[in-house]
Amino acid sequence: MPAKIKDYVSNLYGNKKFETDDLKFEHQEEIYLPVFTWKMRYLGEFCAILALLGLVIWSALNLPIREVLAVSLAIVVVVVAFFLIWLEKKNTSSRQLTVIAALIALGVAGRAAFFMFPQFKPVGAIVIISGAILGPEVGFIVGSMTMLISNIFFAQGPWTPWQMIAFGLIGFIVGLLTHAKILKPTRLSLCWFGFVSIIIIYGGIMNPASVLMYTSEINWRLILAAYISGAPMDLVHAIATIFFLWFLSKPIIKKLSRIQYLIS
Amino acid sequence: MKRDLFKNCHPIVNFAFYFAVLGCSMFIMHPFILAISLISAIAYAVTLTSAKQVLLFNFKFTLPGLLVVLAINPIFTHYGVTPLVTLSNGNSITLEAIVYGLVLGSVLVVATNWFTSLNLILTHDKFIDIIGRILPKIGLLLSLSFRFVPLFIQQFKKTIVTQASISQGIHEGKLLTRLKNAFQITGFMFGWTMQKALNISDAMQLRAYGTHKRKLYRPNVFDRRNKILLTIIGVLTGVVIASQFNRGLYASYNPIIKVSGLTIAGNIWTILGTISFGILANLPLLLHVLDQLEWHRAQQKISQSAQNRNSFLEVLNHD
Repeated sequence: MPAKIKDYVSNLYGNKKFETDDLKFEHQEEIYLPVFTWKMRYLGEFCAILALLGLVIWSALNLPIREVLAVSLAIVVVVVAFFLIWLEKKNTSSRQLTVIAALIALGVAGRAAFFMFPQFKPVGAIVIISGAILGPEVGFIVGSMTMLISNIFFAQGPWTPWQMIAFGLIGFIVGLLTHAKILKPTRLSLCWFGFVSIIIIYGGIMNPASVLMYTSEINWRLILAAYISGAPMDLVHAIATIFFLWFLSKPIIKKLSRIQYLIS
Repeated sequence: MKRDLFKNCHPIVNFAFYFAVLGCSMFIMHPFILAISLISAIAYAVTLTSAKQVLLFNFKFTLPGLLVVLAINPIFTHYGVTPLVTLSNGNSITLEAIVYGLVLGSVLVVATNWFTSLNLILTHDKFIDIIGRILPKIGLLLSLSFRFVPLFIQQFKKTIVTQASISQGIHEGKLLTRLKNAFQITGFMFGWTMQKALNISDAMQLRAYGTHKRKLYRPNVFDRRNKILLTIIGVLTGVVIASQFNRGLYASYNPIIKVSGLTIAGNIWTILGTISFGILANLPLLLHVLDQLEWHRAQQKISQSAQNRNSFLEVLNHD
């Protein structure tokens, strides 16, 4: 029995004077702040991804281009499969599962709602916020599954695996940075991260991927040309991500921290 | 979409077929294979949709991509032994680069046309089936999110109407107010979605989620016909891969064009690989044609028996 109520009972039945002030409970809105716990597992996963990236670069320098394509597609499959198997083997509660599914559906619906504007999509914002609060692995799963499912709704193509790995890595890296307490999940810093990650990670995967698929040789000039030709689209995408993060990050982070408290 | 037998096959057969065909077309790059792949991809896309649609799609989306690929390859790559034009900076546009660009462009066209039929054949239930077969929890995750999308869109429309009724709509007023209202609605919707997710998880908990090993509901039965089809696909792909290993389908464009069967001598594996890839790529079309033939035969049988019955009745009436 809480001390306050104990006092109240003893006041009521004892000879002491009745004090009403004790009964006043001040109503306060509970504010849940996001909790970040660092695990060494994240570092291992990050190092593994870096090693696989090194393997891709090594193969790009040494192997013919079609074998580079085969190697990088195999690596994409391995990375996506790793995170899916992680979720499969992890002892998740049903709340975690449904919340992840709802975040994926939000991304898909957001992509569907803005179908008339090419590249002006809120997917990046939703992936970044969910990765920042719920952890790198969840961020990866939300990012990659959002792209897979929205491509089932619209159109699959040779771009599906690259989009999956690109958004997955954005979600993973933002989770890594926030959980290592390098990046604070404030509105401004998330906007910065959104811009940089879309230009560097998304553009840095999609543009070399188009070089890999459609040219007969891989060299720096080709990648640079692909990057420059893709720059306007990347810029629109990055600005869209900033726009959505600026307006959505505050309410969504507030709600998602409460959800994080509920599902953990 | 029209009636198609390949769509009714088991998801494993569908995935195996597209994996084999797309893999062969993307990585072998032999002109024979690409030509067969192109023809059968377009033929199958036409049977599933219509000739007009396929043609329009190719002109709108594939042709510009093809032109870009054709232009980029000779400009940026200068390997090869037969220079056609020497540029001012010492580099030259070579025949090999143009040919390789043509091959890569046709790979692009082939892949795009296969994806036209893939998008109609591999529906979301097949993805849930094939992923849930290996990872049941991920299958559940996918089906949950597939369910969430229409629920979310429904509720979003409702919320827009409700907010409009308290003059916070997104269709009238100044642009800034409308934008503000739109983001307010999005915030509401996020809360609603999370609430729905927790409701569903509570329902799952009440129905004993996590107490047993998870299995997925599978409406598709992997029966004898599917086994036969999968075996055929496996054997044909095996033959194509074997002919690739025996240099029957060898194709190299850098620095010299070496294509077995065209510029260098081919062997028996060239013919074998080409024929088996031809059968493999046309398997869905073959199934479609067989299905249609069977359908017509059955219809003819029905009309025949009806005619027989009528003539029999006529004889009876006559007597």
